[in-house]
Amino acid sequence: MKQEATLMTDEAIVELYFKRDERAISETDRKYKSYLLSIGDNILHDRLDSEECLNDTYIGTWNAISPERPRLLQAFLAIIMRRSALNKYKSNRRGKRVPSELIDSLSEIGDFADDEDILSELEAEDLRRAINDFIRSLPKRRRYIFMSRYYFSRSVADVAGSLSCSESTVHKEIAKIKKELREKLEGEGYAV
Amino acid sequence: MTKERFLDTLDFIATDIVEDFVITDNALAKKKRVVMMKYIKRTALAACLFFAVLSLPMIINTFVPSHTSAPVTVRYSSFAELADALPYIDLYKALESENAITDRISISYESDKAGNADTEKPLQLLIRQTYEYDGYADKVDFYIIFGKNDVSESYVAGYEEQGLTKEINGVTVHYSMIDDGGKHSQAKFILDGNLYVIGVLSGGESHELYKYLRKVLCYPFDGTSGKYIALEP
Repeated sequence: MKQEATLMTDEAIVELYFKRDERAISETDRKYKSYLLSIGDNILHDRLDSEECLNDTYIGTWNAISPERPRLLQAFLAIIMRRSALNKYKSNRRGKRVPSELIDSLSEIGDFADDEDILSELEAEDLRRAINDFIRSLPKRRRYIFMSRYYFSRSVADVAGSLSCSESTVHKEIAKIKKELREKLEGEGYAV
Repeated sequence: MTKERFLDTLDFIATDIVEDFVITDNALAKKKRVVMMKYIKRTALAACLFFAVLSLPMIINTFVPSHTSAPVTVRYSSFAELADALPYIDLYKALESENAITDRISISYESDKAGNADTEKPLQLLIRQTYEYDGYADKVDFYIIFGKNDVSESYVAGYEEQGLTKEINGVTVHYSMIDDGGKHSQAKFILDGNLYVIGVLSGGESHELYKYLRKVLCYPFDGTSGKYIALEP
């Protein structure tokens, strides 16, 4: 069996982006395609849509990567892919219900999110800071669960598999996260 | 706060938080792969051992007779004594030479039920000699492995398949010559239902396989030239 060529390092790939060398895209694809598609699949549940978002991600990366070098290329790509998949999800969802792990994860916070959403831009900025502070305050394991479930929309089964624990353990951790998040937001003055 | 608002807010999670997650995620995935590989290796090893243990009685019964069957080797002190056991008289005459030192003569026999040599069932004859000439010395092993019909059945080390063959007196001789700091050569051929192997470590400047092959195959003497007909390389 022929051996696959060694994958390029992130530093080398970023350098290609900076040199505006189109090999940057193909090398990114070789290294991160399946990872990025899994992000899209979790949100969209549609491989064609995920691939469309993947293409958008490569274009977005090409345009956004300069002038600041990302510290971690994989994270940089993941953020763009997630954003692209969310936009696609919202577009697909207009007027109809679309199955997604995203819906399931959002339903877990349903009991403290109501329909009223009257926030000024300043308050929205404060909310972002509060959420960031909350995430940073979480112990490492709960932070991992929070990000897996709510940011990357992974299933409870996937999260449990990554942590080598049972799904019921993950559910218990999610319950604790919700409780702490409610306390945090109430403490910040947000109605929940 | 609506679910939509929460979702949009997540979009603004700090990059360092995402980076930290990616690093942790990769580390967990790697750890899982290592554990899985160890598990797979252990499982595979256990399975191999299990089947090896299960199949051992079957292998023993198939290939090993019920009594001890390791060959028994008998040493002989002279060609005369050897001739009483195996009458290859022409061969012995050819090998007895003024410049030959016979280091070893032995026959390996099958063992009987008592573990003694069954002299009716010889497996292998080995004659080991040293030939001295012009200040050099060749080390030569002459093997006859009995009851073999194919040169591939040789178990004597030192042969390297080089595709070299030679017809000598109607006998197809397969031979190899190796220079690895020493001049090793080996020839093997089937004669009268037995496998002959001649291994030579030549002490001189060239391979000296041919003259020992001549001895065994009684190369015709050319009366006109007064020489044995030389083998072509």
